[in-house]
Amino acid sequence: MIEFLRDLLGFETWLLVIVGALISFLAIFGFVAVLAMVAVWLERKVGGHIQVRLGPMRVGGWHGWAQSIADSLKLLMKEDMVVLGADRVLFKLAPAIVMATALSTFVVLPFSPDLQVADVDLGIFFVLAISSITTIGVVMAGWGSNNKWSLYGAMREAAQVASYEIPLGLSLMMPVMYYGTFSLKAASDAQSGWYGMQWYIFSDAFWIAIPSFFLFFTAALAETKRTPFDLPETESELVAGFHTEYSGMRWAFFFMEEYAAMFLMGAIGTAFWLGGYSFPGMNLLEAGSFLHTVLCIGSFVTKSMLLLLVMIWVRWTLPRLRIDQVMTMGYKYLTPLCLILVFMAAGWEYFKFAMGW
Amino acid sequence: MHFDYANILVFLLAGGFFVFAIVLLGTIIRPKRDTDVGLEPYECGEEAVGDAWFRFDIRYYTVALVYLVFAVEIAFLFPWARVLKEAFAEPGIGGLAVLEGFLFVLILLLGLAYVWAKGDLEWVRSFGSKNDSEQ
Repeated sequence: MIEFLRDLLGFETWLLVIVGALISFLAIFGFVAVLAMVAVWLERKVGGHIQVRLGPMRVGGWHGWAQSIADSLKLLMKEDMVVLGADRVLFKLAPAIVMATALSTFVVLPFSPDLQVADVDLGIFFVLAISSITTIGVVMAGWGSNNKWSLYGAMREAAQVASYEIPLGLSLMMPVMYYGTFSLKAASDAQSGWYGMQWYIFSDAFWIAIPSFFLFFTAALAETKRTPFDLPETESELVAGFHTEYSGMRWAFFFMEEYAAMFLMGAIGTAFWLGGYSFPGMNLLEAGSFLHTVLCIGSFVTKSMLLLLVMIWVRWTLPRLRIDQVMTMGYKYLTPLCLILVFMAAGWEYFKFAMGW
Repeated sequence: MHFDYANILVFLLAGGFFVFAIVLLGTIIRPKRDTDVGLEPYECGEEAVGDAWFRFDIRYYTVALVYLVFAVEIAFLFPWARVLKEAFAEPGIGGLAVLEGFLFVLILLLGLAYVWAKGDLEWVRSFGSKNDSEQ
C-alpha cells in the first residue's frame, strides 16, 4: 500500500507511512464498531434463545437487527457524568487507554495473505505485551471512580487478568514452537497447505494442539472477562464492577473493548490453531485474485466469529466462579498443565528432529 | 518493513484521540443536567460512607509476586520456543536446546510447587491458629 500511495500522492515516505496507518486505523475502527454492534446483538439473541425467550425483536423489523444501532445512538445522547469525588483525569483517561490498546492489537491480525496492517516481527509477543496494558486502563477506571464496588472490581481484574496471562502465554508457546515464528501471518501461511486444511489441530502434533487450544480458550475467556470468569463485573455482587460509575459513550467504549478483545482472542486462536485465513480448496484458486482474497477474509472472520459465538454460548451456559476458585483454576490447574504441554511439545519437536522426520 | 511499529504508534494515538473526539461529539447533542444526587457514587442505593480510597485486605498480593516470576519466565521462554527448531540443526546445540529449556521450566515448576505447598496460593492462608485465618 505504501508504494501505491507514493506513486499516487508523491509524498515523503514517513508521511506516507502515517497516512497509510491512519487509513488502516479508520478501517479497523469501523470494523471493530460494526463487530461490537453485531456481537452485542448476537449476545442478546443467543442469550435470549438459551433462556427460552426471544431477545430483542422490535427494532428494525427482522429479529431486532437494528437494536444495537439504536442502542449506540441512545448511548451517544446519554448524559456524560463524572461522579462526585472522582479522580477526573484517571476517570476520563481510562476508556481511551482501554480502547487504544485494544485497537492497536488488531495491527497484527492477518485477514488474508495480503490484508494485514503490519506484519510486526514480534507478532504474538507484542499482542501479549500490549493486551496487559488494558488491565491498567481498567484499574484506572476502578480507582478513579470513587466507588467501592469499582475498586473491588478493578482489584479483581488486576489479580485475575494478570494470573491468566501466564496460561495464555504458555499455551501460545506450543504453536510458536511448532511453526518457529511469532508472526500470525507466517503461522497462517504454514497452515494453508493440503488444500487449505493443514491446520495445527490436524498436524502431526494434534495431540498437543488440541489440549493447548482448550487451555488457550479457557485463559482467553478469563483474559476477556467473560462469564465463568467475569469477576471484575459480576453484576450480582458489584453492581457492574469497574464500570459502575460510567455512563453514555465512555461506558460504551468499555463494551467495545470487551467485544474487540473477544474477537482478538478468537482471531489468535484461528490464526494459530484453526488455519487462519485458509479454507478447504484454497489452493485451487489463484493466490491474490479477488475471489481468493474475499474468501480468505470471509474464512478468517467466520472462524473468529464462531469462536466468539462459543464464548457467548459459554457465558449463558456456565455459572460464575468465585474469585478464589478463579485463582485456583489459574494457578493450580491451567499453569501446571501448560508447563507440562510445553515439555511435551519441545520433546516432540526434538523427537521428530532426531528421527529425521 | 522498518515502519511496522509506526502503525502501532499511530493506532495508539489515534485510538485515544477517537475516544475523546466521540465523547466531545456527544456534548453537542446530549443533555447536561447535573444534580448532586445524580452525581453521587452508586453503591446500591445506600449513601456512600467515606470515599473509596481506603485500606482493605488484598488477598492475592502473594499471587502478584508469583505472577511477576512467571511473566518474566514467559518473556524468556518465548524466544526459546521461537528458535527451538532452528537450534536443533545448529552444530553444537542440538538436543542441548531442549535440555536447557526443560531445566529452566523445571526450576520454575519447582518454585510453583514450593509456593503451592506453603499455601500462598490459597485464598485464606492457614497459619495453624483459627484466629489468624479468620482475619
